[in-house]
Amino acid sequence: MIATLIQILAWSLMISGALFFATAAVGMVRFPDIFCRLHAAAKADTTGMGLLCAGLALKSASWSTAALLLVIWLVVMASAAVNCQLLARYSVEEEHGGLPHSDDRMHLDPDSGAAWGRGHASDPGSRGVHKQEGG
Amino acid sequence: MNWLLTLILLTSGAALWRIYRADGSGDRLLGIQLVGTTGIAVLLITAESTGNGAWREVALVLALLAAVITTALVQLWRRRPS
Repeated sequence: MIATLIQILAWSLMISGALFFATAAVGMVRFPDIFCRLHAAAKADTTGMGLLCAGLALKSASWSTAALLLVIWLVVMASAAVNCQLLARYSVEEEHGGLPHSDDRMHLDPDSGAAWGRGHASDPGSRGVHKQEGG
Repeated sequence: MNWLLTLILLTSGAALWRIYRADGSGDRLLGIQLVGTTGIAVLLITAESTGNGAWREVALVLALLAAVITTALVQLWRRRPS
């Protein structure tokens, strides 16, 4: 009885994980630019991986396997978080020739701040920027 | 478990299609990241369906390598803008 319930739970976790992977695939194909696609590749993928790992850990019924799956999921999650930020920063740099919240921006004229178009120009403090005197 | 594997491999195929039709190098790297994650998932499912636990350790190695590749490449591109 309990074993059947665990199997059902494991399978439903794995199926939802696979569905998240399918969502990532659809987003990867259909989203218009890299900033949208980062959502598909970073978030949906990590969630699918977590659900799949949880389902496989339940199915395997072994603590060592579950620990290994947990480690794999943690590595995937950490790398997705870091790589998503890195790629987004790199893409913004490519698009605008520099980061919108780098110190260089402080020396630009105020109107060019609007060219970033993402609404952060008037509020640099919210991005954790500290102004440097004299650059 | 085969159809699960098929679905994940189709995701991998979508990522490969995106690598083929990328807007820029960042886009390509994003596709590579997705291929890495789906590869890890495929290896984990293979470990479960074949009953050979060594595949899980291959998946761990792939996860560690996939964690490094984006960081390394983006640092390289920032140093030498191309």
